[in-house]
Amino acid sequence: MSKKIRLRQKVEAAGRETSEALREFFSQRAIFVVNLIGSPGSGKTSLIEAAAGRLKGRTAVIQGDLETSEDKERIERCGLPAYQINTISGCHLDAGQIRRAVEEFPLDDVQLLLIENVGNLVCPACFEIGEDIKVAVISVTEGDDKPAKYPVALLASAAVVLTKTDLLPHLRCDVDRMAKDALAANPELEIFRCSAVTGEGVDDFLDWLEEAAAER
Amino acid sequence: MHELSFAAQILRCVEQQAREHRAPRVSRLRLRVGRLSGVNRDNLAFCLEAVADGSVMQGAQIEVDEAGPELVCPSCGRLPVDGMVKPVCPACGKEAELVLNTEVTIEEVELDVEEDPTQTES
Repeated sequence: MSKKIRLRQKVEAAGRETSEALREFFSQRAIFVVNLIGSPGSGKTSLIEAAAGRLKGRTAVIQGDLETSEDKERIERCGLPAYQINTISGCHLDAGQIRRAVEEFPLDDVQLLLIENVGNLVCPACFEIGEDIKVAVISVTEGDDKPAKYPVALLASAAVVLTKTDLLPHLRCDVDRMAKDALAANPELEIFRCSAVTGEGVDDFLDWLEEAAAER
Repeated sequence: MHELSFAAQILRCVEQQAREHRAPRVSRLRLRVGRLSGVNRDNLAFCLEAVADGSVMQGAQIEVDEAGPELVCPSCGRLPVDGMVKPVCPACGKEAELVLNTEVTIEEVELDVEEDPTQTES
């Protein structure tokens, strides 16, 4: 005899409970958490460096990389406390890694926690690590087809920062196409054009970030 | 890329159903995987087979349907779309609901249950 059971039950990704617990932990401490996702070399660390002057004193950074603590050292040189997670071969940060990190990494007086995910425009989009928002970072040097090719990352994000705009005169890159495709993937996206070298757009991004943190 | 964790959770849920209905075996399982979920259907099927080994789910027939984004119009029904679009029905112009289907769901479980001689209903 067989029995059919209609379930219609959603399967939660692993780590969802840990992520929810982290969200509670951060919320109780009034820490706004941003999960930065983007390809290797898209300029995530440089964007934080460019923003460090304004963020100093209230911001901490968790860095995710397969190997080395170079990014942690770069961030510390800008005057922000940083913690390095090495995933060895892992393609994204997971909630368990963040939980272990915050057990060791002091977050007193921190209002903004930036988590720079492992360089990868695919997997990090699908994992929640206790963040309030995800921000996608895509550089103009990656090619103007990238927003169209990686819609899932944009769908998961509240904003996209198009970086390295100072290089546009040297590239065959239609940055308007990038913005248009990003909005097609997610009409609610905020779009910023930034250069960590000239500082273009960095303040606009930070203004929006502060507003988003205040609205939470 | 993280199909194994989904497979493990699906197994846990199916085992619970089997326990609740005192079923020694699961014969069929129907899943629905959103195209925008980040879960690959073939990988998920492979992982399910691996985690099912030695469990009530071993040997179960597993069906995995794919669900892409769609507009749900009150008059015209469900219309597949490419991605994020305005929530307006392209056929009749009425306001429609955009359903992205970014999830993985267990739709249906079919259990082999032992006949209970104390129950008269079939």
